[in-house]
Amino acid sequence: MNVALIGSGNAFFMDEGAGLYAGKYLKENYDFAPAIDIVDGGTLGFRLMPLLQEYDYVLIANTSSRDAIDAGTIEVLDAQTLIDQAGLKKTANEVEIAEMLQICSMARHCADVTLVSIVPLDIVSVQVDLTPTLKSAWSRYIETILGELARRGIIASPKAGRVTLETIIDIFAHPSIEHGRGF
Amino acid sequence: MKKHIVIDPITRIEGHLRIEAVIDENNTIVDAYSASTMFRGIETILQGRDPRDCGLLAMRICGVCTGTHYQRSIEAVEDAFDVTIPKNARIVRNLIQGALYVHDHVVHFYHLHALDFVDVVSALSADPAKTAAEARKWAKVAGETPFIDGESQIREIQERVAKFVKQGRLGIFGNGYWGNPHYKLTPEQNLLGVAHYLLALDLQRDMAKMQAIFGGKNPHPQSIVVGGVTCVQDIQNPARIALFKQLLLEGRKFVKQAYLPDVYMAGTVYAGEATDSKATFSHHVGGNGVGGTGGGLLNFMSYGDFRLDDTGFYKSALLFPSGVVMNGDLSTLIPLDEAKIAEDVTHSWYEGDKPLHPYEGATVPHYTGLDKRADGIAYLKTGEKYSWIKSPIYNDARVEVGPLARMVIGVAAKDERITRYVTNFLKKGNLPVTVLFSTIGRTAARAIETELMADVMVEWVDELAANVAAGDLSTWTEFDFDKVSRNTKGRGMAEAPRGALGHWVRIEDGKVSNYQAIVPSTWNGAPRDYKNRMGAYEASLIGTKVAKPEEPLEIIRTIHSFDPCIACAVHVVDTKGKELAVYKVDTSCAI
Repeated sequence: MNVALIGSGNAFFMDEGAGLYAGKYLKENYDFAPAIDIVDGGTLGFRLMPLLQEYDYVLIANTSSRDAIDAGTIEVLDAQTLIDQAGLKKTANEVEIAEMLQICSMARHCADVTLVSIVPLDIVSVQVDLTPTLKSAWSRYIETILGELARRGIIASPKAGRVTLETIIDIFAHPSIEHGRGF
Repeated sequence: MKKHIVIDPITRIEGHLRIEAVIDENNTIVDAYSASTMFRGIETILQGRDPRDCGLLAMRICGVCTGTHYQRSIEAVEDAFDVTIPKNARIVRNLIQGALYVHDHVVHFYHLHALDFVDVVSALSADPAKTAAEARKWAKVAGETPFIDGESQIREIQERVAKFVKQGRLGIFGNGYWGNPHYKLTPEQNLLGVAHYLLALDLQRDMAKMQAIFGGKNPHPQSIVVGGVTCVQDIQNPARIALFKQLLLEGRKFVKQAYLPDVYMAGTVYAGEATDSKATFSHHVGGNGVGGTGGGLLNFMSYGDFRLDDTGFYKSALLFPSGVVMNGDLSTLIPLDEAKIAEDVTHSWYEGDKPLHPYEGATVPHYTGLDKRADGIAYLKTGEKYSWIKSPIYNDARVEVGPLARMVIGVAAKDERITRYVTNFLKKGNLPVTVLFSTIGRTAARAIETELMADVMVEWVDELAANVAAGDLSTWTEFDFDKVSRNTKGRGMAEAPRGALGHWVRIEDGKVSNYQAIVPSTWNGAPRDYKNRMGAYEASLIGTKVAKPEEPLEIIRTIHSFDPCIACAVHVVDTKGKELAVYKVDTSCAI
């Protein structure tokens, strides 16, 4: 099975970058067996389509806009549930993902998709960081993603030397050509 | 009595595009407002940075054109430090950007725009044999053989679509404005469009692979650095170049055998609207009424792009010439003077009292809110500030950017290649040149550009292979950051698929002191300016007749013809989807 984990979101708007950080965090801290591709999805829009067509299973880590529930809450959804949720999408990213899932469902091949979404507190501030609320929910967010992968038979084993969430966020906030530190 | 139509997901969704249109008793649009309701003050994040790192942040401005923003940002810094890149780097950059154009335009036409013309439900009643004949007919107009014309293959696609519709699992097919009188294609033409929609869906996957060959890490290309490109191993490997060419030729085949014929088909069926001079903004404001429905401002601007030689930035011959055309006058090319670019914030939620050049630009938010709610809808304060998009102006005029602008300016500049492609298109389709100044004309210009790009890229990939074979492996111009000026400024001004894209960077003491980007959707989607003149989206809607106010198909069609940034596009598409977001068309509010 060909598997991708796509970290999706916008690093410029506080908690909206959570999915991106999750992808990078998992890449830096775990080895996966069988191997999976971890993709920095950003705000891909229709460029998500080739990825949905390329893989058999895609796990998208992103933020959700369920403002009726508390920030830091983590939800696991399948593609159809996301598409069917009316009026619940605040970020460009979420709408794009739903739209692309709809279009790709008509392709000859479309990956089986799971979304692991965390409810953000602040997606308005122009800042590369996470709110304390999301930081305190971080280990649950990561464990939920790992749990979903495990359900698909993908086992994660921690690498030696842990890279902290703070370091991950810092890489996004201060990329540097000079120090070979990109996204 | 006038009615007010609001197309907007504003009450639940934070951002993006909102259109308010006012229609008269004949259902003709007499006023229109375009607003972005999401703050994007991303430029502030770049201040204080090492200039070499701007690209890594700027590429996050948009996920679709990520590589374009990245390259523009790198070029702004190269301009600041006066770095000229080697030939291989120039060609590789052209190929990466060209691949984006081809992919972007095909996906835009089929997956984000075609259903504004193609009635999916009607396609279900089509006769597959007649559809095959239709495919041959329009391919012949384009001088090609059809991409598909097998009756059984078309029947199989029709059955596939019927299954999708029956299952009701397709939001975008589920509840559009099917049956609206402004859907004018025959059932067979609709089936052909739907068939190509599905084929393009499978094919675009390969088109996307082209960008990754030289772009490095997919999906965010990082092979472009200040001074050149880093993919030296890829260009040294003949198999990589051959793979690129193979993917390109496959994509080009679809462009010539399906995309262009479909545009001829739509252009012919909608020619009446495209030449209805009374349905134009120009006619509405007492002008000469050239063009037709959706034509809009008729002022066009291109920064120019795709360098064809190695004489350096802003000196080279260009595939797309730079310039300005005013009032649809194709006989006069006005040379571009970048000093005449400014951004006004009179109707935008920012502080500022006069238009500023981007080098001096400021991004200080000043949100003044929406008007009071009526019937659950909060209206824009259209007399005051009403959008997060600034209003760019060129030489104190509003202009449109994008593929139509590039083709118009190419013709006005008497560019041999562009004139040939545009003339061929019009001649084969038996269409007058004024048909370009319309919604369908804007869509056609994008198709013409796609064919031109796919053809010229074949030349470029051969040029790259020949240059490498001749022993030139240089991909990077060395420069020493410690020795370049610590106080300078630069600009990366070129074209993205959606139009003119500029990044301006000012560097003080080796750090970024100011950074401004004006993206294509800013030029096109901007609100009114300090003289209360409309932006391109706004003007394009004036004079359009809406068949059914509760089904704003014509508004969506025209806005989509500009290829608004994906987030915007999606939200307008939402209006016919499964209510992905809250959407209101309110026709009860008299004003």
